[in-house]
Amino acid sequence: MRVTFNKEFRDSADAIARNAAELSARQREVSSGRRIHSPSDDPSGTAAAIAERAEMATTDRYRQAADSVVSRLSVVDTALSELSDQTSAARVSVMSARGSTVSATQREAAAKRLEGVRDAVLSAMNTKFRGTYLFAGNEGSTRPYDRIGDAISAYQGGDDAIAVDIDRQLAVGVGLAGSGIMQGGDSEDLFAVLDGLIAAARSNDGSAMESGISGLDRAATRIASAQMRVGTDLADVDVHTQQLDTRRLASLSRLSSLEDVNLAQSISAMTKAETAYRAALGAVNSTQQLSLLDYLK
Amino acid sequence: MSGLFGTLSAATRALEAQRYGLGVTGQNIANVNTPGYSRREAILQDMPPNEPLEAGAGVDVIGVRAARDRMLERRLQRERPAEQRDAAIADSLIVVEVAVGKPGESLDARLSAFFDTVSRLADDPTSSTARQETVRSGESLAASFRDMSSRLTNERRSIDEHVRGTIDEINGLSTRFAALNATLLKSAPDGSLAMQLRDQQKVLLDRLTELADIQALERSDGGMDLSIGTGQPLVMGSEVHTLVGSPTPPEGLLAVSTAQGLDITRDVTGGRLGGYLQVRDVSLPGYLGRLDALAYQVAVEFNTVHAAGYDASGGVGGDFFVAPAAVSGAAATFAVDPGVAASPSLIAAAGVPASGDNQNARALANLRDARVMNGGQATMVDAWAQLVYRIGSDAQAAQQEQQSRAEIVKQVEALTDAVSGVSLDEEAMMMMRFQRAYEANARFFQTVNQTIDSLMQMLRL
Repeated sequence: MRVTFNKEFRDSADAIARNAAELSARQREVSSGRRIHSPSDDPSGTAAAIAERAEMATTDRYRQAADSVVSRLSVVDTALSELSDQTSAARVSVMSARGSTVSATQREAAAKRLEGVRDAVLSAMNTKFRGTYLFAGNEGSTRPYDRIGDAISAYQGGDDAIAVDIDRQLAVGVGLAGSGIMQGGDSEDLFAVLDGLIAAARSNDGSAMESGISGLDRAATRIASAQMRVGTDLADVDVHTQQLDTRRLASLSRLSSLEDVNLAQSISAMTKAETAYRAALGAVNSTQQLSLLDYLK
Repeated sequence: MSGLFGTLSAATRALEAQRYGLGVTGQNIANVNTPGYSRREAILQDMPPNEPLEAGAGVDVIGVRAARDRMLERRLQRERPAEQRDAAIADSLIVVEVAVGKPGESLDARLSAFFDTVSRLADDPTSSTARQETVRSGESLAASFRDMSSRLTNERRSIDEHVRGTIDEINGLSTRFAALNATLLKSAPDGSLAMQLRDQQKVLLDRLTELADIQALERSDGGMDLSIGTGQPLVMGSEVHTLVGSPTPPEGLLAVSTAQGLDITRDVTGGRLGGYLQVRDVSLPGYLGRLDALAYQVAVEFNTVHAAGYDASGGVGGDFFVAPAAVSGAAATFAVDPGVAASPSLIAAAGVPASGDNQNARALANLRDARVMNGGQATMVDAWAQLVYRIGSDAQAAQQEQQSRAEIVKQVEALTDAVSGVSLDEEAMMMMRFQRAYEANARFFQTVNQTIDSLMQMLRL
């Protein structure tokens, strides 16, 4: 085939352009560390990367939710412990007011202590966490129990609990309905029981004190079972948090294999491209100097 | 006697012929860089003898010939439109790829962020901060949809500008082509002028076949007729039938029609024009359609779940996003309902009319994973990923096609060059040949001249 002036230059220009483009692409890979710069570099890889990032964002969100749940349930646990302690203290006070050898002063002291217990229980039931009442069920902005003069109101909160998702299809209860702990299936709530006990202590009503103690015992059982549920939930969330962390790590690893270059390979490819580029430039230089015209005198 | 003088004049003609050959060589060297130039060859022929016993009457210059291979040129004219069409598609889609953004930085990130805030609202439905955040991220998502839609629409308009420019260029080149036809009509078909005109026509035709799928047919009078698309006439002899680009409703994009008013927009499938039209009329509307479908579903699904809940004051939930009128254009008008934006307490987070309930917010957050796209096959982020995949694979296919066709074009160009191109080495050799031949003929002339002198001297005595 005849090799003409035009063909020589066109071929040289093509070779240089091709090698320059290859070198530029390798340089970009090495300097950015990324394999994919636009969807056309790897369409299915890009689509997979989008999905993977979305999954990671979801996992992160569930992780945050789990952390928030742990904080809330810890506060609930503390409040329930306080309730448990106060119920025990109430029992002790009532016991100290019972019997024929107890004086009026001692009974008054017991009544005063019981009043203190009632205040503490009220305070515990009205515990707030980040602006929400923890024992108000699904009416989180309503105070569960109000003090009206000397008496305590009925339960004002919501009857349903609140659950928070810490994963797809996995929810944890965080907002308990206070009425379930204070009253449960009883005919009167703990405050009414305490009121009854305070009056019974002052009036030395033995049978009233007996039924009051039964009420305290039933309340203690309800508090204990609530605490057990919270404890179990906290342990479950802890385990699940670890699973979420593992899942995130797996996502990150998959994402890296999709998007990142193997730096050693890329640097080697870049060096090769640079050499090829130099060779193309050099080839142009040497071929263009040959011409018959130089040899004719 | 006449033999010797005849020989002298034959020698003169021979000198002329070698000088002519040198001239042709000079012409080739001078035009080594002229685009479209085809190598000229001097055609020399030996003249028959005047008398029976003579060897011959010397050499005659018949003319000059242009070295061209019509078949290769026609092949090139067929390959170029396809290559340029893919090039135009690849170039146009680069901008679309940039518009679509990188994974984790585009619409998918806004969707994730939005559902994050809804999920945080479910954790704490009484928090006004959580409600405001939900509104803000909803507005950010809406802005992202509108932005993406306008980028794709703007790209359509910018390609439309290219279409206009290409139509104008085609018309300009066709006009010049027709003028060359007119001049060819008036000149001798095998003359040097005709060769030069055909070289110029070749350059014009090369550019025209880059711009559109144009077919050339040779005329009997030496010119060429051009037609476009499915055979609509562009140049007939010295007549030009210019293309018209007329804005058509609803978006005012150009339709390509012949001078007689026939709409050939769908018939032009090759060259840069064909590529631009493909992207403008098929690819981009397809991408916009998918974007609109996603926007529509997001708004409708979210609103449906939202309407099943209760807001902070126990009222029934309304629309969270402005209800889209139709799928088409849903992305361009995507917005958070102004009422909700103004008072975030209207967000229906509760499943029952209790202010602290979060069941509806949980249901809304779970839409993140709900397969509501593509007839229940894909999630919202999946649908976005599929759109990005479509754009990426269209661009990749165009690039790969263009590269493989460019190889073919290069090969055919090399073959054409092998026939028509000027090789300086070859011309240097021809120069030497004609120079030596001139020297030899000059020496012969001298010899004949001396022979005549001898004869004259003989006669003087």
